Order: sequence, then C-alpha cells, then structure tokens
Amino acid sequence: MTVRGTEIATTQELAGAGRGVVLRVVGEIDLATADAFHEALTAALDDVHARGLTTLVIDLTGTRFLGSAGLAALVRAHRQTSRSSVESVVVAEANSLVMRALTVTGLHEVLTVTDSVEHALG
Amino acid sequence: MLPAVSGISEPVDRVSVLEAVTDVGLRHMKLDEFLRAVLARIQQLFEVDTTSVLLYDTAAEVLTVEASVGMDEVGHGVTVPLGVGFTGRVAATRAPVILDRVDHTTVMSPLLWRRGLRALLGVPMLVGGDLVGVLHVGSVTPRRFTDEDTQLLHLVADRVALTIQAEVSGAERAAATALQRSLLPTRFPAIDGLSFAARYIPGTGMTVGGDWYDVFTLPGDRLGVVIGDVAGHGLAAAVVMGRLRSALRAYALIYGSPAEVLTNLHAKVSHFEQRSMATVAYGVIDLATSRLTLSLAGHLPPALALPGQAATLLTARPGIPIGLGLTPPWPRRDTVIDLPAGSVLALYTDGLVERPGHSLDPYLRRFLDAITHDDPNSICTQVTETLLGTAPARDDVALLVVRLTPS
Repeated sequence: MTVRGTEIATTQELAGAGRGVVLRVVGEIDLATADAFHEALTAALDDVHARGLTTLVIDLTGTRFLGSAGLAALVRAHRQTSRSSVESVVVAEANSLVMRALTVTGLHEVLTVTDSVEHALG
Repeated sequence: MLPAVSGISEPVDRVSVLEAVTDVGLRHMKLDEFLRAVLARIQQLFEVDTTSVLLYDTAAEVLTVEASVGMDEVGHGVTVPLGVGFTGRVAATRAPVILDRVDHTTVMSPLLWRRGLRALLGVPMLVGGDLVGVLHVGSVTPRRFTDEDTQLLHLVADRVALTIQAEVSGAERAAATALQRSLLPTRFPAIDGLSFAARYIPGTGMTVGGDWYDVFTLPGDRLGVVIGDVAGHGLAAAVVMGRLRSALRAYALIYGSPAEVLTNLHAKVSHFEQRSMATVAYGVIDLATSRLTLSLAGHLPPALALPGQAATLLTARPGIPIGLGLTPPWPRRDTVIDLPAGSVLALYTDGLVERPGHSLDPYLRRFLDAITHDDPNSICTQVTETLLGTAPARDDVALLVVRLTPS
C-alpha cells in the first residue's frame, strides 16, 4: 500500500571509535515507511552483532514524524537488544515531534533516549 | 536424458502462451473462473496433465490450493507450510523447482503422488518481490522440463500473480472496512443526562486502520468510554482492534478500575498478540457521582470543557502502550475527574492532531478551540472541519464526544 508517497532514507555507519553502529533515519516514519524502518533496524542490529559491538544508536534527529507503527518498530528493536548484551539508544531532540511522541506514550521511560549521538556513545 | 515422449515434439510457443494469459476474454471473469480458464490453457500449451495454483497466506505462512486442472481429487482446504515439500520449497526459495521423481520423499501432498505424476515444475508467483503463491504443472509420463518451460511458466505466473493480488487486496480492503464498521457502535446507549456523537474517518486511499471508539453501560450505574489506536493498517489491524475491543469489554465487567482493566489488556495482548501494539484511553463515568475515572495507555489525553469554560487537556500520567510485552516502569494509574452537568469530554486519536514536521501544540490548540458546549454532533463537525478541512486525512482518525446535559 502507498500513503501519499512518503519515504525515509536510512544510513548506517560505525561511530564512537568503533563502539557502536549509528542508524540515522531521515524522513517520516508512518504507516507507509514503518516496514522499511523495521528492516533498517533489523539490518543495523545484525551489523552490531556481526561486529561484536555493544551499542546501536538510532538517530531520529532528522525524523519529521514518528507514528505508532514506528514506535512499535522501536519497541521491538528494544526488546531484541534487551535479550542480548547490546544496548539500543534513541537520539531525539528536546521539544521535537519525535520526543513528543515518545513522551506521550510514556516510552521515553522504557527506551533509552538521549539528545545527541555523542551522548549515546559516551 | 529421459526418453522423448510423444506429445512434446514442439517447444511451447512463447507468443501463444502470452496470448493465452492476456486474452481480453479473461479480464472480466471472477477470480475462480479466471484461474480455471488460465490453468486449462496452460495444460494445453505446455502439454501437461495437471496444473495447480496455490495461494500464500502471509499471516499463517501456509499455501492453500486455490484451483487445479487435471487432478482426480480436489484438495479442499489442503495447506502446505512454507519450506515443506515441493510447493513449500518453491515458496520459501522464491525460485523454480523441477522434480523428476514424485513420491513421499520429494512431495508432501499425497494428492500429487496418488495422481501418478512423474515430473513436476513449480514456479513462484511474485508481485514486486512479494510472494503471492505457487503455480505448478505436472506430467504423468516421464518428462524433463526445460529452461524454456521454466521461463515461460514464469511469464504466466507473473500475469496470474498480478490478477490475484489485485483481487485479494481489493477483497482485503473490503473485509477490513466491513469489519471496522461492524465494530464501531452504530447507536449509543440511551442515558438520561448524557448525549454522544462520534466520527471515524479512514486515512488516505480509504485504508482503514486500527482506530476505534466504544461506549458501553456497566453494572452499578456506570458507563465505559474507550478510544484506541492499533499500530498498523488494513485487515490485520482491524482484526487486532476487534480482539482488543472485546477483551477490554470483558475486563471492564470484571474490574472496576480502568488501570486494572488496561493492565489485564496489556498482559493479554502481550501474550496472545505478540506483534501488536495499541494506545488506549479508557474511562469509566460513574453516573451517580458524575465522576470520570481515567487511565491512559500511551494515548493522548482527552479534552474536557467545563461548563462556561474553554476546553483543556486532562492531566493524567501517561502509561505505556498496550502490548509488545513491555514491562511498565510503574504500575498503571487511575485519575479521577469531576464532570459537572454541562461538561463536554472529547476523546480522539493522534491522526486528528499530528502533522509530519509540525509541532503538535498548534494543532492541539486548534482542537481545544473548536470544542464548544454545543450538542456533540455539532462539536464533531466543527472539530473535524477545523483540523482536517477538506483534504483527506493521512492517518485514520477517530473522535468521540460525550456531553453531560446542562442542568
């Protein structure tokens, strides 16, 4: 299905002196793109495991929208990592729409959320 | 090489195969007629004895026989798990499989070996990389299917897959819409001193999502009001929504506290619908005391307009969403709010106030400003017109307004 042609771009890179993988998501995570977001999360997580790293940073500072399907994908990734030794950290700016979505749902107290990639890997 | 067999003297003609499956005469047929007609043509053109189409059910991860030609027995309701046997392997690898020995070691379905087949060729039916099903042809005489046969059957499979997918997605959309409608209240309980109105607006492309609202009476002169949003869309989300709605009603009969109801709903969904997540606001109005007891599971707080005052958002601690097996960082809580006569309570889903790239606040502000002390129907109209205008909503939207008649 397509919803008004929304899309996301994801990039993945090593960061923090090789301690973690940063998945940066630019665009809108809604019904149309939640599957792509979930796949990108899974791939990034596989990469973290394959390299024997400890942290997956999900950088949502370039994300303009985070709907419930996207929140569900974040929670699934969190549940996967919490069963292993990997930590997943969400990066969202204060007062952003993403931060608001996390606060309204109370998920900011369940997921690890910080305001910069540096802090996430610090 | 296997010995040449009579009847396969000429290679299958590519042009006639394409003509056979793109014929205008096929366009207006119902799916089952279309499949039988195409399968009969494949049987002739490929000079095979049997042809079958199996459809893939993504939710159950099984294949089901949809249509067959040349089979003695009909495999009513026969299902093949992904990865198992011949068709299961075609589906799992999404690649053609050729068999020149057909028995219980290579094929799971006894129907195929009882038919006396000696060779089988199966190809996946794909649309844009998604598996729709499997098409296979069989021969009761020994035969070595060629690359040419495989390629041609692929062409046919692509055409059949497109037709099936169009049909299935149309049917799914219709089923989801029908299910959604059947689950939303068509009339509200008749209660002195209370009036209700609600709206459900599907998202872009008329795709229903998992938004719902509910109003029901409870023993002890109480009333339950619910608004919720299942993450996802289409039939899958509508089905989960139906289960949540029923489970919530059942727990509402057992437990008086909304927080307790949501705690049990959370346990139920986390256990039985592990892949689902929903946000819910559930409140109980005590009609004797005119008090609302409210609990939130990841949902935006409802708005309340007290008599003679502008609407404000209720302050209630946000509990985490329902499902996904998360352990709440603290127990879910109830908040008790007085609802004097003349108050208006509005519950809504996020599609009403969320816009990509925009802060929520200006939209929440407009929402609150649009809530008057009119009758609930006028309020619903005013709110949806103010916030959604005439443009189609991107996400689906649910809105429920309850008014306590001014004394």
